[in-house]
Parts: sequence; structure tokens; C-alpha cells
Amino acid sequence: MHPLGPRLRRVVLVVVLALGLVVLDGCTDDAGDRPSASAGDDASEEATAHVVTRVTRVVGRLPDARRQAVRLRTQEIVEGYLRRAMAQDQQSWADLPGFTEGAQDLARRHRDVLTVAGVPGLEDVQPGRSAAYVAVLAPRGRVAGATANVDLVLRVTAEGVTQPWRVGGRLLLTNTPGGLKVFGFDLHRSGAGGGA
Amino acid sequence: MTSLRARARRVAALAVVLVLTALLVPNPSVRVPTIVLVRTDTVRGVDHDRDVLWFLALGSDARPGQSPLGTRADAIQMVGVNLRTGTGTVIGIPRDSWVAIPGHGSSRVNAALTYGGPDLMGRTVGDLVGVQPDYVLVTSFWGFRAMIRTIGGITVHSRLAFTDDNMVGSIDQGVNELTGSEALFFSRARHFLPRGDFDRSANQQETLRGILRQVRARQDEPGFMERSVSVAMQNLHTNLSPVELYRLAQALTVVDPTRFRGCVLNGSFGTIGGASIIFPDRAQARRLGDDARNDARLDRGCT
Repeated sequence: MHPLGPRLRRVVLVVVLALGLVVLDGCTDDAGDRPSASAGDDASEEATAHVVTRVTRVVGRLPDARRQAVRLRTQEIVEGYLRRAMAQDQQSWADLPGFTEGAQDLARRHRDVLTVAGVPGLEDVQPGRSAAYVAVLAPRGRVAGATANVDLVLRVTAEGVTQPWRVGGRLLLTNTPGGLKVFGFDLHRSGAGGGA
Repeated sequence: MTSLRARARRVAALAVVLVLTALLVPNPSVRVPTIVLVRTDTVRGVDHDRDVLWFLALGSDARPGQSPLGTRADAIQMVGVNLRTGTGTVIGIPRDSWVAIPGHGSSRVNAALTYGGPDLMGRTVGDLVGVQPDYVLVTSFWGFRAMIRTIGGITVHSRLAFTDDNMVGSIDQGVNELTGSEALFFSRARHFLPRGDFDRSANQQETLRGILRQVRARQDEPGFMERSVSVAMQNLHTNLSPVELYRLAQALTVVDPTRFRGCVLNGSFGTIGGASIIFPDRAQARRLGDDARNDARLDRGCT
């Protein structure tokens, strides 16, 4: 004789399904399907900080190859910033590749806003969906400047709570002897750690 | 059978407890709140080689077919901006001011543009105020209209209602939303203003404030700054490269219009050789320059 009758088996099945749903519900956070990156773990952050970047407007003329170069350079700079924004250690914020010296100084002054370092009780940081849309000024086929309108999202877990951490606004870029660089920014941070 | 039913009841009760526990007790490691109080912080800054910049903004009197650099300057505004603090100062020079022009004796200040172009005009105004401009920007009537049109017009606050017998247009007291042509009228008309050139110079400063307000209001629109700088490049006569002009334009948006204070240089009316001129208050010019030179701020007001 089977130890459980058909009615009991149905009850157990319902319970197992219900528990299964509860367990699955706990995994619906955006970060669940992404590789984890502990705060300060630079190697894994580098593998995951991705920013969809598009050149959406060109004022003037810009051949396709240069347009593509602007897109790739901007993506490289923004992803570099985002990797450092995710890191907790001071060292990762020591330099910001693709920023002019002056812009790096300005950014360092606002480290509490521009990185997750100011979030109290920080436990985990996961990249979210981030994007940069670039408008370029290119008189006579040469890039004079560009604005990257960015929407950068991280999912931050601190003190047991997971919240989005978002930086949006503009990165201002211009041509320098070292190539296209950020020389200014107008950014606003919202979500986790806001209002510091 | 009885023990089996009792066992089944126990299992069912346990299952209910487990489900309720799972549903009601939050997950200790990850809890996604359904309501988040969103607070924001804004940071902005522009890297420039200097914190304080001075530039001379000139509106040329050139008519179509004439070079804006070879005619007299109708609007003369010395602008200082502090990129670190977001403050700004503008000192208006009445165009009929009788001043020393290096190498040319004394004449109306606006003649310096004719005698020696933007460089001489910059030195002349710089000597008067005691602050040499880093840049000189010259525009024409049509260039001014095009730039105002590109940014979508401006809004100005006029202290007075006025018209003019030489130009078509009218301004209401209070708030006025102006097109390019209307903004040009607001900046040029002087015949029916009680203090003539002095009031006109103050209106030109309000025009600069209106431009700043409009640019700041729209600067987040994708491509707005690039379009605006492109049109400025076509309509401003300057020795700045496109890269320098782009950086300067972006830097100027750091200035808060509510902290952009203006003074018009005082003076007394007179005549020389039958021509009416203004004898500017040179002491006031130096006081204003000394006050604002290093921080683009007028701590002592306009006196």
C-alpha cells in the first residue's frame, strides 16, 4: 500500500508548487539573471558594466567611420565611469580615463553622488540597463564637441534592501590632443543613497 | 485509516504554516520594496583653464553688405563669469561714451571697432574698466536674430513699456516673449526710453539674461547645444576655434541667471564738435572692474 492516499498526494503537490512559486518569486529581481559583482570586485564589474551607446544626432558632417569612432570612444568612457561608480574602494576612483584632468578633479569632489560609495551598508551592486545617446557637433567633418545624454542604472543592495541607483543627465565631451574626452557634466543621481 | 487521515491533516496543516510563513515573512537577504522614496542630487561642473572668464560681447551696427567688424559697435557689454561659483557680472558701456582709444586719441568708444577691429575694441574697453577681456565676440543684427531664432526665442522682463519712432516694434512692461526680430528691437530701441542709451544698455543686459535662461531651460534637449553652437559659429565673429567656442558655450551654462548681475556705466551728456556724447564715469568704471575682476561678482553693487 502507498504510504500517502491520492488526496494527501494532491495536498503535498499543492504545497510543493506553492513553495516553488515563493522560491521563484525571490529570484525575480533584475540582477538574478546577471553575473554577480561584489562591491569593489573590479574584475567582475569590468565584465558586466555595459552601456548601450548610439550616436543619434550629428550637426554638421561626419563620415560613418568617424561616427562609429565617436560611438565607441563614448561607450568606452561611459562604461569606464560606470565601472568606477560601482566600486567601493578609493583606488578605483583615483583616475577616470577619458575625463580631462579638470573634469576628474570635479568628479572627485562629487564622489558621494557619482558613485555607490556613499550608500550606507552597501552589500552588493549589479549593473542594470544603461544607455548613452550622443549628439555631435562636427563642423567641416571634424568633431568639435558632443553631448552624451546618459541613463545609467545599477541595482544596489544595502542593509537588506535592493533599490535602483540611477545617474542621468549629460556628459560634455570635446576633442583634445588625447582624443575625445569628458570636460564637464550635469548629472543627477536618484534612488539608493540619494539626498546625501 | 483514521491514523492516515490524522497524518494527512498534520501534513496539510504544516504545509499551510509553511506557505503562510513563506508569504508573510520577508526574505532576509533580498527584499525589493514596492515603494521607494526617491531623492535626487545634482552635480554639475565644466573644466576650463580658468575659473573666471571675461569676454566682450559686441553688437555691430553693420547693415547687410557691410562687414560687422568694420563698422561701429551698437551694443557693448563686458561680461565676466565665474565657472566655479556660477555667478556672473555684466558691465554695460553706453556706445556714445567718450574714451581714449589706444593709438587714436579720444573718440566714441564704439569707433574703436572701426579703427582696429575686435582687438582694439577689447583693449579700449579693457583700459576703461581695468579688466582685459579674454575673448571678444561680435555679432550682426541678422546674426543676432538667427541665434535667438535657433534657441526658440527668449523671455525678458522689461521695466518699461516702449515703442520707437525709428523701428517697428513695441514692448510691454513686465514679461515679454520675444522672437529674434523682437529681441533685436528690445536691444536696440532707445528713442522713447527715459535714459536713452543707459536704459538701452540695461535692456541689452536683460537680453543676455533671457538668452541664458532659455539655453539653460533647453540644454538637456538632445542636440540643442550642438545646434545652437553651430549657428553661433556661423554668426559670431571670433578668433575662437570651434572646439574652444563649444567649450565656452557649455561653460557659460553653468552661470545661474538669477546670479547674473548687471550695471550700466554712468555718465553725463555733453557735446564735442557739435556731436552729442557721454562723458563716462571713469572712477565708477574702475570701481566696478576692481570689484569684479577676480570673482565676476559685484559685492558693492553698481556704485
